[in-house]
Amino acid sequence: MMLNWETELIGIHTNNAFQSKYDCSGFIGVSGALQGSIVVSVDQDVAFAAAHSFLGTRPKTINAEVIDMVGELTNMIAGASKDRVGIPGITLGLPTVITGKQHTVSFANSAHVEILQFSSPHGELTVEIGVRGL
Amino acid sequence: MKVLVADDSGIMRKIIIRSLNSVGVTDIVEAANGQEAIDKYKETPVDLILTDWNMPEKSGLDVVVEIRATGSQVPIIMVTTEAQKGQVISAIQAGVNDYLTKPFEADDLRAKLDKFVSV
Repeated sequence: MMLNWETELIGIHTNNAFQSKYDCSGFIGVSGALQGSIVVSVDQDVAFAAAHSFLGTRPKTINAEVIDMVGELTNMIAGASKDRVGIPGITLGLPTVITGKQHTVSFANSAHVEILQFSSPHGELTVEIGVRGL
Repeated sequence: MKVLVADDSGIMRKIIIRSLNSVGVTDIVEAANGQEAIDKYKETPVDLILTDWNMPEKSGLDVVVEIRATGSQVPIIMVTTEAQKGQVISAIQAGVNDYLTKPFEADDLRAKLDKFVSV
């Protein structure tokens, strides 16, 4: 991908069996054939390294560009996930990013949740998919 | 040559502009949503448009439809995460000339630009 990082899937969890604690999370709403959301979470070091790859300069704080980058990363991962699911009629919303040291993400009990943990050269990232309609 | 780059992500606009600069294009107009792209195109016609699909205000597909409705044949490249076959077909039917899915490598974008850029 555009980051050119080697990533490896290091864990799969279902239905809130794992709670990530990260610094930045990008959310994208899923509607249409499936309803729910896709969340991509990273620690600030991963976010800074990704921003460095995208922009050529490493930010020192979680600024507007880092937030923008996490949103775009979420957009790309959600788009690729939608494509791989292969179910027609899924619509993705626009990304929203929340920041906060060591925050957690929880889904409603009615959602089916798949949590994918990845390692990267700069730290871990987590993709959480919580949907109804499967 | 003047190029309009429409994407709600400032980082994506920077990445695209970097690629445009690498092929010698420096006269660039930016838009952060679909409505702004339409407004800017009407103010200042350009020679090429690169637009995202999912944007606030109006989508990239709306941008294509509205610009084609004016009779304009300006080349439009859709640069988007939307990769499902049905959506690619919708974009082409609306009048998109080329399609690039995110994430992309710089060379992929440059190859698309080479088809339309004349500096």
